[in-house]
Amino acid sequence: MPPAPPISRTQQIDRRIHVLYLVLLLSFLGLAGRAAYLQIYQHQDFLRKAAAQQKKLVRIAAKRGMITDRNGHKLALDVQAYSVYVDPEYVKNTPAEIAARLAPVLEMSVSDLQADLEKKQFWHYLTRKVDEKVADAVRALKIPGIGILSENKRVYPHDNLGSSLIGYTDIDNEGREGIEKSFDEFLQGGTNKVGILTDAYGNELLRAEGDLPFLTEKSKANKVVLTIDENVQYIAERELQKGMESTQAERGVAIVMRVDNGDLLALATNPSVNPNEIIQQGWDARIKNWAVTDFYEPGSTMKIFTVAAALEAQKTTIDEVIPTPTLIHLDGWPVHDHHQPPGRVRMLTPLQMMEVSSNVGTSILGRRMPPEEHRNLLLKFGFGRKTHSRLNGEVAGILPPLPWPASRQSTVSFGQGVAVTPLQVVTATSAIANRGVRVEPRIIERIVSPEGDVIKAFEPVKTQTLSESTAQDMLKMMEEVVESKGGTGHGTKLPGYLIGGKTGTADKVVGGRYNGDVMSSFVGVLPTDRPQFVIFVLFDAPKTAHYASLTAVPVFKEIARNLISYYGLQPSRPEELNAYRMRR
Amino acid sequence: MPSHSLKKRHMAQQKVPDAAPAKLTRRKTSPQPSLQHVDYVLVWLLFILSVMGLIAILSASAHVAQAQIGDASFYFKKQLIGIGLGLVGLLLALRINIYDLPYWLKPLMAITLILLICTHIPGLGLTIKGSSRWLNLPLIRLQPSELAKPMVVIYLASILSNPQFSRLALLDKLIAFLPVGAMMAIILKQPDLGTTMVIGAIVMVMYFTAGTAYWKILGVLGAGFTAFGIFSWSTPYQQARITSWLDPWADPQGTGFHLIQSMIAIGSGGLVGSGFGQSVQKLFYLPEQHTDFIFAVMAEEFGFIGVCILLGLFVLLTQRGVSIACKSPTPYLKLMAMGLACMISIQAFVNLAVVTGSIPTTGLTLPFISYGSSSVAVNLAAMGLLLNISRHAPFKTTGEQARHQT
Repeated sequence: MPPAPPISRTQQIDRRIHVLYLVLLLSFLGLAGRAAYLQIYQHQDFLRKAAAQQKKLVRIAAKRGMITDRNGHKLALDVQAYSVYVDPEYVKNTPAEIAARLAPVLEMSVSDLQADLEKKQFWHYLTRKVDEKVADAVRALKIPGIGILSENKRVYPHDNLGSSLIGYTDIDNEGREGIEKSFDEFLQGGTNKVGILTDAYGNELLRAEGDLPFLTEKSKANKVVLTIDENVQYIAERELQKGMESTQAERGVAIVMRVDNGDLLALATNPSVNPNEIIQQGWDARIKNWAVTDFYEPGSTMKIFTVAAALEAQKTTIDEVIPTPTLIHLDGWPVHDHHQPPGRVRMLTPLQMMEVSSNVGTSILGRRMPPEEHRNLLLKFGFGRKTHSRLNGEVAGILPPLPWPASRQSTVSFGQGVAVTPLQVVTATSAIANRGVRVEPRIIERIVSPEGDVIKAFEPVKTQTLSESTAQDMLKMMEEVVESKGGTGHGTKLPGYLIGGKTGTADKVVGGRYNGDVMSSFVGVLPTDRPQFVIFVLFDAPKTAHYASLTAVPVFKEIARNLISYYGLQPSRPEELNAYRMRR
Repeated sequence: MPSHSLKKRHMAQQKVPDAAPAKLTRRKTSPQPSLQHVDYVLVWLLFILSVMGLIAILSASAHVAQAQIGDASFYFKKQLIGIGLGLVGLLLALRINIYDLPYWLKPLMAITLILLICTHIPGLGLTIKGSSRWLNLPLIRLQPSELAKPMVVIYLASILSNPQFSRLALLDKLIAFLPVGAMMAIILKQPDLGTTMVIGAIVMVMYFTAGTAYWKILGVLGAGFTAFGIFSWSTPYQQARITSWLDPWADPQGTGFHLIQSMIAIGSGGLVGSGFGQSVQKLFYLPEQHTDFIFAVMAEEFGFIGVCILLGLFVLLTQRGVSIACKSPTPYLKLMAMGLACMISIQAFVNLAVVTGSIPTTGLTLPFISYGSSSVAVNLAAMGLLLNISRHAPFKTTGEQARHQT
């Protein structure tokens, strides 16, 4: 140390201390400058960098749109469900340990679960769409590598009700059958995009209540409002089920349609399936809506339209008396009336032909029309082409192409060699019930966006098919089928109410041959003086009885009776109802 | 022992009675200054820093502690224990006769060295992330290198304050430095480069304050940086540290990851920060979020304003050290006061410089703020010594010792 400057040791130390202090001050000032550079000058840049790694856009499967009945009652909706997965990367326990703890909670067998865990060494679901209770129980176990994802699950609150009509979705919530399929594009929830903050492991940060995600993009899942009335559907299904039990039929259909606008209030098929369980039951359990997907030979029901066509073509009048043999031959093929000895000739009006369901009579009436005109009139009724129902898998039926030889025209006249769907019969009948104006069946009333706007409205489609007088004449005749004591539809007679209808019992074609079973149906109008509903009941292969009067008619009657009380229909003949009540 | 030999020589000469170690008789005669002369600014400063540390630890460690230990307040509670022990140490350090310390130097240095050596003994030493810095004792996990820092200050203050020291032969000077060199070597071997460098800096501060010529200080600094440079470029691990500091974005997922995460945390804090507890970067993006990188969490939550307040507190602590040192009556107290203050401020500076990416990464905690019960306990005790020295300040001109100054 140079001793030259005359300063004391303490003074020298103090001087050094101040030099050091200055160096340290400058160092901290430098740090403040550095902090200012990072936090103020480069702030925006680092905010972007932070956002890039902290913010994540997650896609959350949006809830699928609801399906409701005409009164807004929910027929299909999405609820929150939970799926349990395993991520082997985070698993710490052995498959046996995990299985032993997890299986009872998931209600699975321990060995199955263990085998699953051992076999699949990759991320996969252990079970899907369980309810919150199970999810909470799994969370409580805190097994490393076992996690829970929330998913949407399609739920059908009424189980089987309207199942063939509504259809169902698969495990990924995509429409597979029925309305779910044909209106899938509207119902699809798609994905909602939500921006979230995550920690370094990608886990979403809990947000304080009221905090909004930094981005929300909602997809459109629309509500589909059906024309179905949940209660009418229930009535139809209940009565159909009773009929199925008493007739031992293979399947049945019941349809209720409003006459004025074509709204389908009920479209029931039996057997039905519970769409809530269809995934567990497998694909074999699925059923189609055979009211539109299958066709059948309508048999005598067709006589309504043959007579109506003949009237419309002015080839006959309602009271013309036509000599009708009990057996004729056309192109070498015999045509005969049931329960009648051959070789006799009956004098029948078109009305009586309907009443006694004469094959020969309607054959004669049909053949009075040129085949083209006959076929065109049937086309106008809607046979041989799809209705506007937009139901999934609908078929057109078979209206044989021209030319029609005599035998072909004859069989078509009484409902053989022609194939129709149940819904076509209902539609065609609406033309008669609705003063000659045929209305297309409507199953969807409107599609509503999440905001409540009507995206798509389905207006009734109406076609003038018959003159009003022909329609009135036909209604009279159908009414007579029920009102007259010998009529095949007399079984539907309800005191005080006028009902018109027509039975149909046709041999069933299986693999191109008649196998002895029948398709037994009844189509009717309630009430005939101011028609409101067309009701149709069909049984496929009833075993206890063949004739519609014993199979479809009682079911029709019960549906009609229930409709009357549900809608509070006023009797057409109050005095008849009163008399009936007096007698009781 | 060097101090012993020094004392012997010193006593043999019997010429200048000013050096503390020589004043055996003073033990009985020297007055203990009243406690009312304690630097209360420093007391408040320590209180504020400790509370800030607790708050920062709670925010930074809660998620990690919850995830790893299942108790969100685990580190908070451990830090509280550290502060409690530190307060005991502080009160003890405040009450002792500061001039007695040199008589305890030998055993204290020996204990510190033994503890440091123990960290290298398997079974006693606790190795975390490849570094054996801890002794696993019940209740507290002791980090002897924290203890080494104030010991070096006390030791150097004792020997450098002796006016005869400068007249010693170079060999004797080197022998006197031997215990410090041994500590640095053991700590470097742990390995703990950061603490070694901080001790090196303290050594430089002590020699510089004691009056060592500028050219010698600059020469040693130059030699040190050259050696560090050669060391860095010759070992791939150190080389990666340097390159990742120069351009962290070259390998954002690898070597640059820590620094990038730290700078993102600081930078996204902006002027006012995201608010207490609102740091996102602490959620596993930041490494060592409650220890080495706790400042990044604070900077994110409290912004530039919070950073300036923290820097101001450390500057104030340095200023108190400078003030106490200047008011102190003897070179011994001046050196010790400056050494103790610089021990805190230099480590704080290095930590902040690392976390802000101003210097290459090295693992160091932020005094009083970072989690570390050994660290906060030792630092509080060291500050107790500084407070003790502050009691002697009023005697600068009027006290008995003042007359012994040349």
